[in-house]
Amino acid sequence: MCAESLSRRRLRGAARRAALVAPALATVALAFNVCRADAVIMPAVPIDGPSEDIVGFGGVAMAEDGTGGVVYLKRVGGVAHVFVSRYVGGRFLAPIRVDTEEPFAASQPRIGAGEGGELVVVWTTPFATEKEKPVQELLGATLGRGSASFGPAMIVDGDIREGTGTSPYLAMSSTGQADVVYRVVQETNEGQRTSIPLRSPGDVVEQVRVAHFNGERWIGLGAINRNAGISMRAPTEANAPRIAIGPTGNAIVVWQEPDNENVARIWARRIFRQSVNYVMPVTAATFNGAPITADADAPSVAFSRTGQAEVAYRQVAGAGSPLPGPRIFLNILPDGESENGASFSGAKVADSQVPGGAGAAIGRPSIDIDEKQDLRLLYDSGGTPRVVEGNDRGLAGTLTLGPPFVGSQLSPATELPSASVMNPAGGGVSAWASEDRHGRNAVAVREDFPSGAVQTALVAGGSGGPIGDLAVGRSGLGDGLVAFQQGPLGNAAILAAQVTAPPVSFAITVPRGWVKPAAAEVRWEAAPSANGPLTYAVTLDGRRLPTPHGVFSVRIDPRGLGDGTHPVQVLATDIYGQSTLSAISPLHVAGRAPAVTVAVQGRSVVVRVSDRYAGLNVHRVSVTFGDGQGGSGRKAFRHRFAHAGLYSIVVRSADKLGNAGVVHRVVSVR
Amino acid sequence: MRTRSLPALLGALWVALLVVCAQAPADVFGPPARPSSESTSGESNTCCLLASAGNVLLSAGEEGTSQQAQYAHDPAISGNGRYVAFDGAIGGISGVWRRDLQTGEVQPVAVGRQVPGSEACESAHAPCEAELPSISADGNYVSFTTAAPLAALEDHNSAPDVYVRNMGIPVGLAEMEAPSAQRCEAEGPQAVEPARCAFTLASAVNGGTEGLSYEGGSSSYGSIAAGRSAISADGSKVAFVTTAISNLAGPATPSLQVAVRDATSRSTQLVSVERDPATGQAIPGKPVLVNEGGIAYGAVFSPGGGPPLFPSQNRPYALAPAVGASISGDGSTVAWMGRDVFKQAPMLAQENVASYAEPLWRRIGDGPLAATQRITGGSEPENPGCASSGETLLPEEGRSPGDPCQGPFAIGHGGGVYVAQNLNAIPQLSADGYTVVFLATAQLVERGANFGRGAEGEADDIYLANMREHPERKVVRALTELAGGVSSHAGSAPIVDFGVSPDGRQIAFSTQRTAFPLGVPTFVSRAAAIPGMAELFDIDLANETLTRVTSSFEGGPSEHPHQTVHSGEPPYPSPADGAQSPSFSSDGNLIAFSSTASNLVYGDGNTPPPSRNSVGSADGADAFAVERRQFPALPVEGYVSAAPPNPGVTPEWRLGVTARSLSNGSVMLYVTAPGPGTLSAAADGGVPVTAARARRAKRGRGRRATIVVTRQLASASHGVSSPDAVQQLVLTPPARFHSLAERSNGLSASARITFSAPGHPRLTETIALTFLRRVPAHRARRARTHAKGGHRR
Repeated sequence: MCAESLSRRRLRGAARRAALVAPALATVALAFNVCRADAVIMPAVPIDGPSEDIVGFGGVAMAEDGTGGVVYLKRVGGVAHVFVSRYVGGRFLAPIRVDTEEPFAASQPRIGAGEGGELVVVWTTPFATEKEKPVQELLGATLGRGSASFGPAMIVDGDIREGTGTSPYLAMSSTGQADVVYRVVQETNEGQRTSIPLRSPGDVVEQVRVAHFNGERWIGLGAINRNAGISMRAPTEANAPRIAIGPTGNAIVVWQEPDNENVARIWARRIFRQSVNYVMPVTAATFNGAPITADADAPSVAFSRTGQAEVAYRQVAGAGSPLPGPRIFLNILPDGESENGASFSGAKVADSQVPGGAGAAIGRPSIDIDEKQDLRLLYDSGGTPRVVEGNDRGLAGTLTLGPPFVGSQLSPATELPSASVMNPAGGGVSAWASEDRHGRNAVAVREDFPSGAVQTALVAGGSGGPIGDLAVGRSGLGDGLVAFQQGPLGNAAILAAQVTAPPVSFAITVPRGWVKPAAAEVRWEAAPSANGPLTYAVTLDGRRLPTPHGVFSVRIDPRGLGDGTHPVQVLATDIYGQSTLSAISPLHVAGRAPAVTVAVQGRSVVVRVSDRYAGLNVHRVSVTFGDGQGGSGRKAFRHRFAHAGLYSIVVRSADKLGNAGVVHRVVSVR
Repeated sequence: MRTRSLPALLGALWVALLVVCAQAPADVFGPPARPSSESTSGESNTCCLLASAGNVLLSAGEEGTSQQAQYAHDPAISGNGRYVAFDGAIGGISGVWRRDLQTGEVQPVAVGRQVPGSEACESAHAPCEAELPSISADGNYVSFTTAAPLAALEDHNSAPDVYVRNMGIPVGLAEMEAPSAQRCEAEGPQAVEPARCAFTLASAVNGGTEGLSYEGGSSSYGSIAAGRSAISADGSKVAFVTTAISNLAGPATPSLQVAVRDATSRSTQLVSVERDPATGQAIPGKPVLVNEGGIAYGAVFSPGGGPPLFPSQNRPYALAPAVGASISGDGSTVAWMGRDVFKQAPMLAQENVASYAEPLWRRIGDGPLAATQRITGGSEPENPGCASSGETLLPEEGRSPGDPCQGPFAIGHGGGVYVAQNLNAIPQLSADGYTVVFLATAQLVERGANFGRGAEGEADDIYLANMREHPERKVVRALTELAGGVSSHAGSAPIVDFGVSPDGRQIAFSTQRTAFPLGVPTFVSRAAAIPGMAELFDIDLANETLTRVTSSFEGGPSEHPHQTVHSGEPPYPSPADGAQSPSFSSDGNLIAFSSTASNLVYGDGNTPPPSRNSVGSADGADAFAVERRQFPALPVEGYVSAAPPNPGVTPEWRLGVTARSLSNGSVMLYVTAPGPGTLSAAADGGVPVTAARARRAKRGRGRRATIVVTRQLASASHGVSSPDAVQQLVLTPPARFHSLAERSNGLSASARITFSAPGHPRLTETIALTFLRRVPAHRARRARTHAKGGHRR
């Protein structure tokens, strides 16, 4: 039997508060003879390659039921096409091609996952030439529930010009709706004439567009940027727009766009399915009363079930900036139904502990939020992976995760990728590019558990080599699929590691008040988990009771179930051996008849009837003293015998549950 | 009579040694970056971009005199990777050959001249039909099957027999075609090892050198040995199967029995023996035979039911008969595709279908009583839950996952794990015998429906079982999976042949299949657009990758000329047309195989024109060897820290007690204890007694006086070993209290239950109870009668 005492839980809490989480808990856990989960972070498995034909990584997605997939680009006959490896039943399936009917090269694939194995993939591909330049379109394809192949490609946007810096970002809800945000660079400043003034070197004329997938077809929502008449910064991965979607299909999109002062800010809009709402500024325009005049970039957005959005972005500190250096800012948009849901609450510095002053280097943030509005933000702080945790009431703290950001990225950008998702019960999964002690590239993975425990891993695969890009797909229940590209082009591999979370905490029900042993029953709800089917075990007084598989209630054996209050819990265990213990519910059991005491004093006798559990039903109390006298309806009886001798006293009683008893005492009086 | 000397002729011949490369991660089979002796260390490897990937001709024998075989089948590579034995025809001479990969020299093992224009032997006693070689680790011993009496004094029949050739003793062609009647030097009481005989008869009687005798006098039935897997690494043991009634285990030993010949002890052990149901052990020397539906089934699977003919006639683009047994490199273990399984291994009581086929496994190294074990199966009688269920037969559909008697495979009544006709049914073993690889046409229960193809045709998959890790529970791992939703040939073409490396870490197989939907092992090679010839694939369990080994010298699929077919029709209708017979060197870095493809090496010249595709044995097959490419290592010191502890609960140190009055006057106490320890209970109650002073007073004054005192009415104790079960204690008062317990309200008492365990505080619980004894009927009647009489008085 695994053991966990209250004192251990207290120790666990203390350890968490002391931020000495991992070693302390490990020690504590061993000291208390606890069960060890079978597996949490799995080693990376090869999805494809290494091969000269692997030419790109598109991302990974995971739905709440644990299904998902990885998308990447692989050459077939020298032409890059979109491939997806589905993740079903805890394993990756052989990759299948998505763009089966498309003859031309695909690029920039992205993937979203719905429940039941549903997948949506978008990608760009050329379809025509104009002035001897290819004109691209944005296509999408879906793999329905239970299907083994993708359907035909659907046009998401029939003209995205040359596809430069499109950087599509796809978000999919568990209900099968999806939104994609992407950029369309309409004109460049390379000697071409344009009607829109290019206010900064490198600026482009660009639209940020959104399209909505309603489960059947794609609907273009058009350009959503604030001012079509101003130029935008040259498209990079760091200033690409982002979008997040909730289960109802409502979404929020964030993007970078210069304001009227030509300072690139982050902006946001709510999207109610096919309707785009007004523009809201996200970035802080001032800091300590002084204006911020440097660009902001790298927006990251997360969206809760209730509609609250959290946006993190990077604020560069230019010359004369009031900021001591570059910082990650965080801004919260309460849900639309709330009193303050009309605008962001105000951007704040997420982590002030950034070393390096004005010359500090910070990476792009990755943010996630759960249904309780708790947030988790991961970013690279001068090579150190830092996590910021908090909620809409404030930031709870920061944590330096482990091995530093190290490695190289295959794309021209210099920043190293990272991704973080959270567990609604606390903690989450973080992954970032790192290296082993020999300086060989790998991906560091860390899972912080709701209990405060930590598991870390350094995963790699294929032929080794630099980490190209990585992503973490989230189930929303704390699980993550960490997928990445490793190895240089020409010998690259697509790899993925499963990171599983214990089942989410769940409710159990026991009868209220006092019950007879035969009525002692425990019921519980299914614990949400992406790693089912789960097994359950009922514990009573800390003892594990036989619990049949597949049931959600257990009637407790009344034999040996003594009177009193018994703590009841249910242990849910997933297929990987990870367990979650429900909260303690007190089960009040009363099965004995009231207690009777008979005291003889000389020729007097005192009879007392009591019940410390369910309570005495005085109306069912009666006494006969053996001399023809008796009484009833009281808790205590005093009687004096007229003569010495032996008397047979019979006491009948019952408690409020009907537990009745007869006590027969022979007394001798003198 | 030709006068050319055989060595001169043979030295001029060559067998194409091919090196191909598939795009793959880590280790793949491809062009050698360096000589094999300089291969990289055991560190994990990485792939480089192979821009020059292609087939490389390693050697062509002597300059200007090389000659390609007319055909070459069934290659087997020695453990040291130096020699490849194969059967084939070279320059009108056919039989079994051995090629030295270092020198390029091709030596005859057992050959004879063919009649020109025919495949018949010129000499009636020549081993020109010798085939299916297996080779020892050092390459010095080659086992094969031939009807030629190569050991003339011991082999007295014209039936096929199994021989072992000692390559250290040169033998000329003339000696092979007309074997000497002289005993060879080693055959005598002094012989202790097969060191000095050129040919040693393996299919010989137990304890002697005389060959087995066969009933029927047929030249087609006797004993045969499997190709590649019939000889132990040291060459001392050979596994073979009888195909005729013989004197293997006494007179009239039925055919299709598995035996192992130990040349060092000159013993021949019957391996396929009946199982004693009482002891579960083997019954030494008792062969297996069941007559069912007019067919006599032996212990070994044969596709047609009856034994196969020897030699295998005209098998272009097809496999040799899938009858035989494999022996592990250490000689400890034998595996075969069994029939009469219920006679040899435990099955459910009513599973007694003789034609049911399933792979069987026996560690003969564990002694003569070592039981034959099932490697997998449709049922699971060893499951304790099955044994207690009393189930005697699985449901008809053979697919009931919750059934404790259900094994890994879904098999209907009368079926079998394996039902195909033309594939390699012989399980393959690792060197230690514990890793078993086998084909199955049945489908795993866990996979559900088989895309509607379940029992039809020869749709099979390849499986791996580890008999050390899972000796009882038949846990098998599927290495391939039939594909749904793709054209049937691409997704379900049969796996025709396979082999496992001695270390059990690689499995090679050949198939025309192009779709491998199983995610792990990951198929990392470029998939062919359409199914073509059977290609060779390699599964690397260390990397969990599946790579295609064979490709043309231009990088494309394997091909040879074929007749014109309509679009959509398979150009190579035979599923075995292509790669076959994979075997590994000991280190797993070299694979030998055969292929009928004409484009694996540049200049392959023995391919028949399309119109002759099905004439004779000359199907253009060649033996090839391909070396494992080792890439420079970039190992990452990855790690996964220990998983955090799961939440647990500590049993509270408390007792739970309930009581129930029994009609016999006892009280049953139900107690839940928090851990192992000792339970004791004592019940006290007030009982009326006559006091001593009162008795004296009675004597003196004639008065009776009674008082109430507390007495222990009953006690009991009980040791608790497991806290999970409810403990039961019975408190039974002695007979002197029966009358009190028989009163209408019984005898009230208070029980004190105590639980003690070392290192823990003592627990005590007090509970009120009543001893309530039902008055026996006869006493009740007597009492009533007495009462009535009293009234009358």
